[in-house]
Amino acid sequence: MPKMPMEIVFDPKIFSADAILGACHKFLAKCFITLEHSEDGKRIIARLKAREGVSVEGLEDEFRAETLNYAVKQKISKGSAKIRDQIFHIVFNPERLNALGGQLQTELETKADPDSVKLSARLEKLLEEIESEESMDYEEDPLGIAVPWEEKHGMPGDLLHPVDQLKRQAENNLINIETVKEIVDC
Amino acid sequence: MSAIDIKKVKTSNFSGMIPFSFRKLGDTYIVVNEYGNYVFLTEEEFVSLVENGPSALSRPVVKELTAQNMLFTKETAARAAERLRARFADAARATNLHIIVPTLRCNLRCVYCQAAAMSGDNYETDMNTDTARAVVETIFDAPTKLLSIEFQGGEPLLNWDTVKFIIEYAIELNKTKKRELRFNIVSNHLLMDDEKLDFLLEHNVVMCMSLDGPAFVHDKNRGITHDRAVEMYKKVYRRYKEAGAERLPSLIGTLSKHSMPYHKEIVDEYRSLNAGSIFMRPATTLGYAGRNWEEIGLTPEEFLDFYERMLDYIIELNLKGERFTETYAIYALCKIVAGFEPGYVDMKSPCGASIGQLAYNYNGDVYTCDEGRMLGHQGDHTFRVGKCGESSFADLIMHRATKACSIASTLDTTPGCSECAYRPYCGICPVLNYHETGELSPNVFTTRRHAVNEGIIDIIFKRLMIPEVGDIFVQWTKNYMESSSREIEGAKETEEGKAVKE
Ligand code: SF4
Ligand code: SF4
Repeated sequence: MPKMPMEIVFDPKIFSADAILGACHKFLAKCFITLEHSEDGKRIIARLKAREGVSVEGLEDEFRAETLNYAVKQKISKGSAKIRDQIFHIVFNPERLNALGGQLQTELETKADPDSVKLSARLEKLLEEIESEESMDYEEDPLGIAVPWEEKHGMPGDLLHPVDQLKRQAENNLINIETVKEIVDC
Repeated sequence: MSAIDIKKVKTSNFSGMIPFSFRKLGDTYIVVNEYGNYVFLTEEEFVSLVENGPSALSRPVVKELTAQNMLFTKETAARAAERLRARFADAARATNLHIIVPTLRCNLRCVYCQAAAMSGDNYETDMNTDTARAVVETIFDAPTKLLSIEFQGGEPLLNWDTVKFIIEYAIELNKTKKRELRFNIVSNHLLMDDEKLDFLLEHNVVMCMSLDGPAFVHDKNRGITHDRAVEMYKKVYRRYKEAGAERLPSLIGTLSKHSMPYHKEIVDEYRSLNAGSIFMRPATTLGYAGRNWEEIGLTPEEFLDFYERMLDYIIELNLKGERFTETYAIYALCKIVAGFEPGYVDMKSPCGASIGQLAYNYNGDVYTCDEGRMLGHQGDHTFRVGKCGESSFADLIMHRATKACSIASTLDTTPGCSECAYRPYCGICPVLNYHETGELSPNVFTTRRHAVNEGIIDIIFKRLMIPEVGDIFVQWTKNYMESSSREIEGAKETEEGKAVKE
């Protein structure tokens, strides 16, 4: 039986305080938690005391796993933040979509760090290769995983298909028709 | 423990990706982008994705990520923006569900009654004609094409004259207002007679009856009423069917502790009445249920155990060729497999408080929703947003309780939810949060709603991983979307509405 309160020590260079706080927030339903720095200031110590009726078995592993989840989620969120912003721009100004691949792409890339430029170049190449060499060759895709959901299962009326939705929006003057043409035609 | 080496996880790995979150279920990672598309990855694939970025993955996986809008391209950006726009558009639409309580009186005394109904002679809780007129006029103030008026109670049929008046007056007003009008009644049917039935049928009023299962379950919750209720339901159903009504009567049930062992029997009861689907919601802590909680209340774990057994039984029936659906699953699946907002006000972000529904009490007080109204009945009027005859629609929508509920139920800004993979599918309830914890925004991980929603979505995803069950789920979703397409059209805003907003 683990001793209570249990002490879990983190290196803040590896796990940000935000990731640890995220895990603490989730675990507050199960435990009483205190956080403090180690005496030399180099570590963060979480002290967990299980609430009544909560099993202490595996608690430390769960807490560590949750901290790791939060740390990964924060990196994902940070890494894809610019894309989130761009999508918001497009929601409010559909013409912004036209800028993708041109000015906007450059903007995104020059602001990004060199690693990310390398990675997106690699990814773009891979996507191009997949598209050109196979042109969606379904014979090599027996599970149909490359087939979009809408093609696999069909679409009920005009409610769902994004392209159809865009067309409908254009008819209602909610979106620039040129944008739609470009998307539909490409 | 996961094999991810956090030192290898760099933010730059995700610079070509649409923002996403993830959840591990068994050996599988469910990767969900912010707009609701999802992909299942093995642990190995997921670890490689986060440690090395998507370009290090095998081609089939990259193809799948592309097909599911996980990688940033012009097309995926357009689709993601479209999903987001649909969500905003939904939140910006004026209220179209209007719940009226014509009386608080009821002829039953259900153990879990959320409405805390009054006994049959409390006539002072009947809505009078002047109030009813003011209620209808307030409803028509809402700048939306579709107006759905739902009668709840108490037992609405106990104040039949007011119900009739409201329907007739709304139809009269609509001659000039030209909205798409719908009427629904949630009733125990015990007071139904031919005169009422003729009127309801003639005015296309959709009927919904409460049924908790076979007699030995239903009567334990609702008093000895099962046989009579079923008899009336069959009669109403037959009449609607013969008349070729567009929408047939439906059933809705509540779960208490008594129901727990009987998932099969409850489903079979619904099947025997040709219901075609089932929607069993757990009793909440509001109203009388709070007082009897020890005896009747369910923990989230108990509810989820029941739900899983019930859903599996229904899936088994479908695998044998019978078409029978489960409504919680459909609401979640619409968002999961199709990015379609089914409009279920309790599983939306922001939730439907005031902006999706308004509840009108017998005395003309208006609340954010029926749950807010129930709390009002317990003496706490935090969620009262105005009064018919005094408040304009703008007053109701601009009320601080409306704003507070919208803010408190927006998952994107709720700690815990904002990082959760299920955010695109989920919804939280400020009224219940407030009632259960005293706070509009408590730590979400301590709330019943979180435990129930997370559990339901887990159960659904686990079954989506099984191909033949996935096919059944997709079929349910398509059918539901087809049947609700007319309503979505109807929900479009009127010119009048746009003008009001400007
Ligand atoms: S309520 Fe729970 S399951 Fe729903 S989004 Fe929030 S954290 Fe996730
Ligand atoms: S506050 Fe709760 S009950 Fe009211 S609409 Fe929102 S989720 Fe539903």
